[in-house]
Amino acid sequence: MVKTKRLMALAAVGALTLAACGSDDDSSDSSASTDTEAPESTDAPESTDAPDSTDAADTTDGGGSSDAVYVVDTEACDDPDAATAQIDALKIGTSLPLSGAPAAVFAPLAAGQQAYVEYFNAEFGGINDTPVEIVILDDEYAADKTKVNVDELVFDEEVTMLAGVVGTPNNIAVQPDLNAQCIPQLWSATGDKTLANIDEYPWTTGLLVPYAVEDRLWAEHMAEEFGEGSTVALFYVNTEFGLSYVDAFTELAAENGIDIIAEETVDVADNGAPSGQMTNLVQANPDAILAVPSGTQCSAFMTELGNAKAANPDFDPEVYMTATCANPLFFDVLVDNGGSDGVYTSSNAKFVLSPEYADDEAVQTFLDAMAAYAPDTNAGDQSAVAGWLSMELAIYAAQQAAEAGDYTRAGIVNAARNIDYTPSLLVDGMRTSMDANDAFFSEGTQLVQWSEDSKSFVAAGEVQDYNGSLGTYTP
Amino acid sequence: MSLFIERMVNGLADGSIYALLALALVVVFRSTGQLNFAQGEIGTFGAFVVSTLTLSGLPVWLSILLAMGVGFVVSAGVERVVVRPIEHRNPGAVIVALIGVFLAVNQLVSMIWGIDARPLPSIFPDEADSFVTVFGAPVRIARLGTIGVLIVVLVLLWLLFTKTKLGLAMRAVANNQDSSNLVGIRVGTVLLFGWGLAGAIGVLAAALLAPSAGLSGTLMLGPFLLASVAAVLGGLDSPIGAVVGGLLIGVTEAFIVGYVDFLGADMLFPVMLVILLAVLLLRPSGLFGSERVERV
Amino acid sequence: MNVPLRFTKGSWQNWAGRLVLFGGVGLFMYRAVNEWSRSGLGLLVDAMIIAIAVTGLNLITGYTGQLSLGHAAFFAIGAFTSATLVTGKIWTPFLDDNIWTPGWTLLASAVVCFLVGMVVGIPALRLKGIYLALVTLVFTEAVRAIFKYDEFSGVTGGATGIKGFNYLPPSWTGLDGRADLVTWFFYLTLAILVVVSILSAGLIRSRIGRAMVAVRDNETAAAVMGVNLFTTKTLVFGLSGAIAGVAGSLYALKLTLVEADVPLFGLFGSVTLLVALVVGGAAQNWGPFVGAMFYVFVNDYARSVGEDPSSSLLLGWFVDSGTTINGLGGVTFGVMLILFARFVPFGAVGTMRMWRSKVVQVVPRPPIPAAAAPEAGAAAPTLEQGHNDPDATTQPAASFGNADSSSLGDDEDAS
Repeated sequence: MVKTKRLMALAAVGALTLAACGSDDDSSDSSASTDTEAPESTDAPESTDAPDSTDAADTTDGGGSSDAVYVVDTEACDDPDAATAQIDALKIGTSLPLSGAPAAVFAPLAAGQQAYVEYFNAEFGGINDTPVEIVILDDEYAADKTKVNVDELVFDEEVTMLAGVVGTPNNIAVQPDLNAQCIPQLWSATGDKTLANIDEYPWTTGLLVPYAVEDRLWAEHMAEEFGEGSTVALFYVNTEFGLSYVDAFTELAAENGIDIIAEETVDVADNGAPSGQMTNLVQANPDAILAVPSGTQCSAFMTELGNAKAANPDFDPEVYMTATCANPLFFDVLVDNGGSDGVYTSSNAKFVLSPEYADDEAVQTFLDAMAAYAPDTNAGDQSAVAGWLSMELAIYAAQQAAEAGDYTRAGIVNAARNIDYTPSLLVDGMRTSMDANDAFFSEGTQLVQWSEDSKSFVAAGEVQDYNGSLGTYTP
Repeated sequence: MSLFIERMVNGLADGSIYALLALALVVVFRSTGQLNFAQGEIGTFGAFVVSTLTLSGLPVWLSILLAMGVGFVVSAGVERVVVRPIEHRNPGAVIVALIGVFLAVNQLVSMIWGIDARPLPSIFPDEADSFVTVFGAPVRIARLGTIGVLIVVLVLLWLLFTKTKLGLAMRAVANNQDSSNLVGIRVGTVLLFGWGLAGAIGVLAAALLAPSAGLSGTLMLGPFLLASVAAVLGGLDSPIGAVVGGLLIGVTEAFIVGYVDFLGADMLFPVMLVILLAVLLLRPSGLFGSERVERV
Repeated sequence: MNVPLRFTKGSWQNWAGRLVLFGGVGLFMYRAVNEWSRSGLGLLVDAMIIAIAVTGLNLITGYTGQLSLGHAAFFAIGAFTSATLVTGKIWTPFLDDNIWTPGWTLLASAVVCFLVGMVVGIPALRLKGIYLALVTLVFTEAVRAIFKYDEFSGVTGGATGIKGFNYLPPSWTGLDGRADLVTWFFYLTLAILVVVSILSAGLIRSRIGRAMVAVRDNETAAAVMGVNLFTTKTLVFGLSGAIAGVAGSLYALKLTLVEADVPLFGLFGSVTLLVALVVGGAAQNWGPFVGAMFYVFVNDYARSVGEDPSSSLLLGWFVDSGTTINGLGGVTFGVMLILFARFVPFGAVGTMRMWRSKVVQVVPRPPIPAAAAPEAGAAAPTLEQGHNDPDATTQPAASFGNADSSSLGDDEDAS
């Protein structure tokens, strides 16, 4: 069996070589697309080969003219036939931390993924009456293990696609291989901008709100609250996640006339109370603090913040924390000294246990499914929502492809790249879409604030929809 | 000045945790000449036991005492079941076995208690306003309490080693196992007690750390690493050395964050390397260690 | 029939034994590359990369008795050297855009890690046992912190690390680019593992090798015998680091990215290498390979037990299918290590050799003067004997330090 596959691959490679006449240009901008199944393919590739032409200003309004349809090019695939072969049964693979330190934050994501798939099969009987299968592997948040897992998923499990893989380094590690093999790598759980590199990696799409969008929300809110010359101190974890966040904020701070007066870092492995850093933050006494801890450090930071506020009556900054901390468990259960009260964060998803959504139909469906299929997981953990979303979108894209009569890997990616669909668990009022000029799925989010009285997040602003504003990837 | 005091107390409090854990390492090293890689994890395990007991309604201090008992049994069990059968055969194999214990206990914790972080109540007042003002510096009571616990443990250990027969036997075994055997000391029991004692101290350290750090399976990974550095810095067979080493590291950490602008908290290890080399190249057995300690 | 059978080294029986051994491993490799799935082959490549690093560690810890928990640092330095050079971050004469060919960076890593290793060897002159282990461990974490330090991010990439490079098979291999990437790394890694193993075995049989073993068995006696401790320790630390560095390079090129937070670059990596060394058998030529295979594949197996306990041998009776037990994989692996240490204390190779020596022994050819005992005794006589007889192999112990291991005297597979 292995030998036949190798032969097929060789044949495919031979055909490819003939077709490409030795051109080794593997980016997708060679415009010839042979996918006759995709009706719009005739004019689409024109727009993909000129990434510079997509100016952010064109697309902010989300107007119809810029909605260029994206069609993926399968010529450059290792095995173009496999990318356009009809799918019998959808099998989704994913890799995320189920053990080790980051598992505390991310393992519920897997539960959400599992729950959605089982819910979907039970409710709708799968796609084309065939149940969807999901394979979840543990990578302990280590990029090298993700790579091993993805090899296993692709070659042993022979999954149709990857979806909801967690982590910036982890997704970047497997991105080149998956794109060469033309395995869709959809709804990666990271907000890093490199995952929107549509020219080089068309088979990869991101799930989370890009960090730059969140930073923009903070910067605009700070400028509004404190005006020109307001001061901010940064507290961040010294990882790629922290840096990518802080770099984007630094740019926006300059644009909004905000002074960064102190920067404190924390090592990713340090789960202790950041008392030394907090002492420095108290000394700097800024108007606002932007905190970018790793998920496991959110609570310790807020506890320390509460202590510092009590001990220093003059110290009362507004505190902004990343959406990765926007989890009621961190704010409520683990911080009981008032340090979390009034802390801002943001979310594009509904807080499922918030009284505000007690009657929400989608939230109820989610909670019922979690109770039925993942009873051990705390459904109030917002990570589970992210997992649910990743599978909802993955299956939605597959359904779209099936309905369009192009139920192939390429068809799924085309459906994902041109998606215009707002998942039921996202807050109302934002547009979530992608097209050839818009490589970021979700660019809308909402400022929320933790209320110690109601033990829940309350909206602190309108839904800010920057859909389309980031365009495609620029290094 | 007040700022200096605040940083100093913070550093000493963090250092007390390292010092306690380093004391546990030293007690084990004195009895069997091993660095117990599983020391921190046994502590984490105990802290989760504390959590379960307090949730069942027991007062915190009693939960900690009971959990220390559990730590004693687990650690002594590791000595008896895992280490002793291989000890005289191969030091490398003992290291591997202890790494195995580390891994097994670490994962057992997540098997039993799940992976979510959970709060752990403190034995000291730990509200937001539980602090006293010393020379204008707000100093948290829980941090002073941690330093106090370290002093108490140190005094008790000193009494144990110098004023009791058991302590005498422990010192004899640490000095020479074969001769101790000949003079009628039950070496096996003494070793068991040494490991158990270390396990109990490790649980105490974890139970003191968890309220501020949040209780999770990775609670003791960082502190264990720093505690072993502390033990080496002070001398692997010297309890006083362990305490000095631990406090030194805690204060260094606090001062790097506080006073050295171009180095963040994440640059602790390069600084530690310099300190460690400076000390060990002058005194290869640590600040207070005795020269003969060359067992591995 | 006399048990144990005794064969002279170099006799046809000895060669036949070697043929079976090498043939078996060769067949295993042949089948792996032709029949295994690509993910299985990827695991095998990882195991061989670890085996290369452990071969380096074996020199300093296994043969010279210096307990090092710093080899993850060399591994990381090698990885970052490769990543930095192939992405053109360091000015290089004669190269237009400073971008190196990936293959050459393996050599560069070896050189860099050799130099760093020499420096790390200096404290080893003063420090012993756990003291040295802890200093090298802090060195590992310090190196990791320095790679993350923002001021150096022009070279190291800082906390973001370096991404977006890869090492496709050169055209002369006839392999097809990315599709055969794993195959290419399989051959590349295998070749380097073989070369490194031969070099290591050669080194052990050389004058330096005898000095190494002498230092391990009794440092004072070795110094009295005229072994230059400074040269021996720094040189071996350098060589050992260089080999681990090459492994790191391979790892980076295979992973196509480096980041200081990759677990193998820190404490975890150092512990992994040490465990693989001890499990395989310290001071054994085949130890690193066997240990690395054990580590990677048994770990993978343990993980699969955790992910699907119902299909595993024992737990299948108790557990419903579809359940996953969080942490079970780690517990399984931990318990396996404990059992291994209890029942196979000299490592797989050392213990197998012990068993085998009860049935078959390979004795050295009688040296020209006289009396060659199969049980290598104290270091001093073997050292002298070694001067007379270059073929005599002199590694007696399967442990670092002072374990009683005189029963492991013979070694037929020294090449």
